[in-house]
Amino acid sequence: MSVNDILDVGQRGLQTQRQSLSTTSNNIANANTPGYSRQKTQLVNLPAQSINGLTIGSGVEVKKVIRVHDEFVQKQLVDENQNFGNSKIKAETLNRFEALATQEGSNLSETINRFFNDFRELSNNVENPSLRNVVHGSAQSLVRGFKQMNDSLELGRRELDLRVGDVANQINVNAREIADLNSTIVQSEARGETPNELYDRRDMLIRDLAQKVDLQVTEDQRGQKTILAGNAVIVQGADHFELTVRRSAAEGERAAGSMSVFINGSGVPREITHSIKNGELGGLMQARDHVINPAMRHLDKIAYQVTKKVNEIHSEGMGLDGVSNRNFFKELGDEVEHAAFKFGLSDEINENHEKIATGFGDGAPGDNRAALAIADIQNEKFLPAGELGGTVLHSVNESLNNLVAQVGISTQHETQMFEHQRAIVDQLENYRQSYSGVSLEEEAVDMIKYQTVFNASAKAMKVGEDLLDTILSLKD
Amino acid sequence: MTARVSTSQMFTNAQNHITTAREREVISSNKAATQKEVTRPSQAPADWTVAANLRDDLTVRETVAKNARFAHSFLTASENTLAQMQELVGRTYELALQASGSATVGPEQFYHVLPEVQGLYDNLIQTLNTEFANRPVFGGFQSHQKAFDSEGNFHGDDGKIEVEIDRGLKVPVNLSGSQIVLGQGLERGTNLIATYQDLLNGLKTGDESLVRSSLDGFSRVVDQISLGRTHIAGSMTEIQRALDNHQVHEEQGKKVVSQLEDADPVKVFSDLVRDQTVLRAAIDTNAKVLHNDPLDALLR
Repeated sequence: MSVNDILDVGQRGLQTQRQSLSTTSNNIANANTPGYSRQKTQLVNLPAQSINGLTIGSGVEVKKVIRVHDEFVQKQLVDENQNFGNSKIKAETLNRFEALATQEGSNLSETINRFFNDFRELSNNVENPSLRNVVHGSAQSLVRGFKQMNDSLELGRRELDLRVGDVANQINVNAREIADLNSTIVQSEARGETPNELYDRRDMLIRDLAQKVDLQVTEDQRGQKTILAGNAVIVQGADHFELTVRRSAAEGERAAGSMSVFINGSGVPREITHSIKNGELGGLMQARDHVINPAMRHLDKIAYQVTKKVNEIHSEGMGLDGVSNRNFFKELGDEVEHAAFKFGLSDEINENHEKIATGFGDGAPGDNRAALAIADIQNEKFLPAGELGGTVLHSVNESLNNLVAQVGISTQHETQMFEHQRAIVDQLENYRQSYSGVSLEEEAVDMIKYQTVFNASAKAMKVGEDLLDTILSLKD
Repeated sequence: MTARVSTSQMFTNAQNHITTAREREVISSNKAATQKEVTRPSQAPADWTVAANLRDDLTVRETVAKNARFAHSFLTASENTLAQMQELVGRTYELALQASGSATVGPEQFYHVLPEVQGLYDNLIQTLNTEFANRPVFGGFQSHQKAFDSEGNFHGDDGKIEVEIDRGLKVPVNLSGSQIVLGQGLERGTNLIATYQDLLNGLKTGDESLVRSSLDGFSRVVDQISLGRTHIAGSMTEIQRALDNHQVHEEQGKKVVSQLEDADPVKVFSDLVRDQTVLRAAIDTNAKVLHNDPLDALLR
């Protein structure tokens, strides 16, 4: 081994430690970068040389800069993020919706009580114009109560539809970037590089995407990720296929005009709504179709039955003018759907409160039987419990309270699911951070470690130089 | 095996600890501020539903109890009317008895009795037209006119004015003029007006037999009036029971709603203190952990 070899080994030592220090420095710089996996230099000793029967090592080199990454945790996070995204969006939207339904339900409940109580008071003095006026006013409040609650539910449904569109757009943006990364990674690998940052970025995008929709991820032979969302391919190699949303006809739990999801493949856009059951996209449509729509149908049933019951009695009764066969509320026919929206006072009652029927007898102005019978509707149990079905019937107030309670039950369930899922995802993310995250203490120790060897390598070179100087001085 | 701890993990955990402690503190302080344990159905759906149904029931009962008090007043007016009638009939009976029982008194004595009987009759008509809340007590559903005119003709009907005194329970509050006054629909029913008119005619014409026969009529009428008062007493009992029932419902209902919704103040405030302590501990501990700069120490 020549003195030059000492210098070469020393130089390789310096280079290797410098590269390791760069990696450490990069780790420190990215300690807070979301999705970053710490990197490590993989050091290998170079093949030894055999000189005069002696085997002497020839130094060290960096074989590869690897990222510390657990593919199993990544897969688990992708799986669990779908449930997490689903429960999170449902818990968020239902919590807001619950507050609204509770407020509107309580207002409507109050107006129902007022309406029937005012009929009770009117029955004590049916000819009193002030009391008739009060009944007319509380009936108008009841109409407003049904409309406001219906409007709030409709607003909630529209908001969810809007968010369906937003989430579909976010999925498209993520899918586009993943497809681009697939392409860039393949090109980089072809050049013999290890694009750790690009892997990290792609993994993070996939984890984010999993929160938004049901996801299946596979890897082809070239290392490109193929992604299926709701059984439709959205990323394949460098290609991505966009999701679009459109208003659709009623089907199953879905109301007419609600947003459905389509995939723009090579041919005609294909609907994939039914295969989307998870992630935020699935959660939004489930909250819309399984909580808000049933609540709206329930409200329609209450409005329809109240209209029918009150009209049945009122049309048999007589107003102060002795005329019968008038509806109190607008006739709804057999159409239960949108009854809460159409709920209103009949034109005749609206224009003259003397036409409010309070008795059944002709020429009996003090007859209060119709007013009593209308007030009695509040005590009757004629409404189903709600969308859960069941044979037990409920009063108007009970049915309305059940509607709100049903929203509360869904909210409670989804909040619990969210807490549970959050704990799972937090634990996985904690594990991912524990395994792949940067530890500043560790990096500080590594820095000292590499610096020490760097200094020592420099010293070794100095010794080599001194040896060379000594040899060269022999000539003199 | 001890798990490796990354720096971002420390910050994330610190953030999670503080956020969780802060969330709990907010929940406790909300409960302390509102003194309510349940404010939304999702906190306890079953309890919330029971409380909401009870609140609705209490609201309806408030009006129904008001109705019961109205019915009580109406029936009191009806009862007073009957008491007054009984008094008038009793006095008339005495006068008729006095007139018919004395063999020495002749038609000239009738003449002296006549004005008082006439006055009693006029009083009776006035009493029969008693109104309560603009509704004639004896007029049934005919509220636009007086139940009886001065001739004693009945202008009412048999309509029963009912008032809801408990949820779904109604009692009639008016009196049937045709039954109590005219004796219609009753076994051995007597027409009070006709009896009076017979007496007046007897007194005017000096027809002693007419005067005497009216006595029997008046004593039967007293039974009719008593029958009416018995019905009123029955209804009054029912109203009292309904009012007692409302009171029980109100007390029990409010108690149950409070048990279901209200927070236990001792628990709420001790929870609040605990959560505030936990929050402070989370902040202090994490501050100590996060302010320890490893690079400084190691790379000195």
